[in-house]
Amino acid sequence: MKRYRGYIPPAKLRDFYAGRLWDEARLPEGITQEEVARAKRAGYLQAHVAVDERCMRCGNTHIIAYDSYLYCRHCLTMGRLTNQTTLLTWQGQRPRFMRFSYNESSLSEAQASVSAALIASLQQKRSHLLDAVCGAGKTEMLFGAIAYALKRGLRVAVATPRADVVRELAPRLRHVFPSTCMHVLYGGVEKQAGCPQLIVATTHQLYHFYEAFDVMIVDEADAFPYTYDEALQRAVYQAKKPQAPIIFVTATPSKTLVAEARRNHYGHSSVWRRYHGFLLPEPRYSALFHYAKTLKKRLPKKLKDWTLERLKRNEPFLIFFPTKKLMHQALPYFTALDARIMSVHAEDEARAEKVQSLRDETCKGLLTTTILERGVTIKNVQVAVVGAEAAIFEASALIQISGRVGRNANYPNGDVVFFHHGITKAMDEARATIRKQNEVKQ
Amino acid sequence: MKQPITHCVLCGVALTPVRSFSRLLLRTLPDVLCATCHATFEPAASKEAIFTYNEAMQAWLNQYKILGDVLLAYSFAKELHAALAKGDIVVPIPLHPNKLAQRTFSQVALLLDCAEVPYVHYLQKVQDVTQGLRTRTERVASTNPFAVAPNADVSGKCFVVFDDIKTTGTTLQQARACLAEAGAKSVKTFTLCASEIK
Repeated sequence: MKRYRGYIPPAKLRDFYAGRLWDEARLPEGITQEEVARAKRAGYLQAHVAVDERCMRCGNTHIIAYDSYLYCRHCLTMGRLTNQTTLLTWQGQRPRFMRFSYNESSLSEAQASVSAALIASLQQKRSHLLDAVCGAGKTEMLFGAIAYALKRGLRVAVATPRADVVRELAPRLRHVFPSTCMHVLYGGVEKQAGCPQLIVATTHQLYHFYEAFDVMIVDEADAFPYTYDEALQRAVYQAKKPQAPIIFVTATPSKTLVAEARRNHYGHSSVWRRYHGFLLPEPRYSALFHYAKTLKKRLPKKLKDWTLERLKRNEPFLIFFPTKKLMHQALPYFTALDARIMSVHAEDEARAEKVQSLRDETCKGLLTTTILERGVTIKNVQVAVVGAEAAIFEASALIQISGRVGRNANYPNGDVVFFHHGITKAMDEARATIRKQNEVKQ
Repeated sequence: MKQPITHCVLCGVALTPVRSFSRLLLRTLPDVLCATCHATFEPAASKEAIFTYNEAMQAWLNQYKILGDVLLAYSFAKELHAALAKGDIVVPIPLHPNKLAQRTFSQVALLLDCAEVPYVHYLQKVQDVTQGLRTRTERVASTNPFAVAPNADVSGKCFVVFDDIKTTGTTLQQARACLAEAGAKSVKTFTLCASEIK
């Protein structure tokens, strides 16, 4: 708390800077340089040198030097930081959040017990690992815990490595917490008004926050690039308050995450049944030898038959490819079958619209890279993986892909087929895991 | 930038240095791009540029100039060295002092520095204008923003004006005119990349 010294900073400064770690030179919309300078002089904003031996934002220690400058390449895409850049943190009063409303949805018995376990963990300020099969209703289980925190005026972040998942989560959270100020942050999104109590963001966006959140939720905690990028994991820890608990949510927890949870005595809940109670669709194998060679000339017969069958039955489908190149090679053969088949990949700007058009049934099927492996829910979708033996299809990826099918209670079954050029351990592991989960009685 | 570059500056893949006698004896510059990344850049059709301005080049220029990833200046050192190290005097297109303060580095001169190409600043920019922000007609109608540097003796010399990108060629034309008026014997132009008009 600062004593009154003839100056009260404008509320918009607090709204924006509270909890943020922000480049001084990048002024947010509606805030002038003079206002920032004034608040800085009065001690409401503290200035930090962005880069010395390590980057303050991402913690990278591999710093590049040129002339008299030092700069960090690791978080370059978030705007370059040099030793001459100043980062600001808010030192004034923390914003208080009063408004709260909660549209509670009904939970199944299993969901309700997990929800209670999560709240119990939050009460003890203990981190929690929630592993629940694809389509178990993980998001719904989180609502109770988020409501618990929001009601007490705590700041909550829901972070996930995938922007698609952010876009999928945001409207659902907005519906459940209509009066909470919520910001949705991912690359290229515009500035939103007010001071956010709830943030739904990609893990990259957490670089812009510093000791801000009382509760951190990491959804799809095993997805690329989070597991491969230590800086992103540091960002998660830096964005929350030191004592704040983290809830890790995933359908396919990595061994390291499970070990970490056990070592640090995290709470742990598992759900082996989907919310509608039906079994997980089990993937089947179908040999498609030399598919890469065949795809240069034509569509392999098995794949063609599978696609025609889907078109005949008017079922939406996803076909996963290991590489963008192979996908683009195959695309013309598919469009020859039906012009309403499209393809998506990570750099595709119209990705969200294409997925939506598949839901609206204006698009018959999508060819995709692993980008759509998780966080996507499409009614009655059927799935094929071409080249399931490729290294990029790890067991967790294959489980996630299989988990796209049968999520809707009206269509609990569907076809998951792995077209392969030889069976790999990852494929067997994925299938064995799904079988095991189906055998567990609850 | 004293640290040796061991990983591809674009994708981060570990580089495998090729050990050969030619590299040892001729001291050629080391690669800093992996083969996959390098293949995304298309060679130019004209002799006055090395690459065509394509999607990969657009992304590269954005990361280098706009985001300020200075390390990328090494990317095409080998090609630039081969093209410019011997021959006419290289004159980089200068930055306006205001722009330099904002960007913190001169992207054209830095490319030459990294390529170990000697150059002289015979030109200076006296108007703070950016061609990229203007329309074609504006560019053609504009007055010359360049001037010969004070105390520079240009008369009777052969020059190569070097820039990072050529779009309409206005910048290069203006620089060439500026040097020619001051009495240069010949002025050629050369760019890292050129957009091909289709």
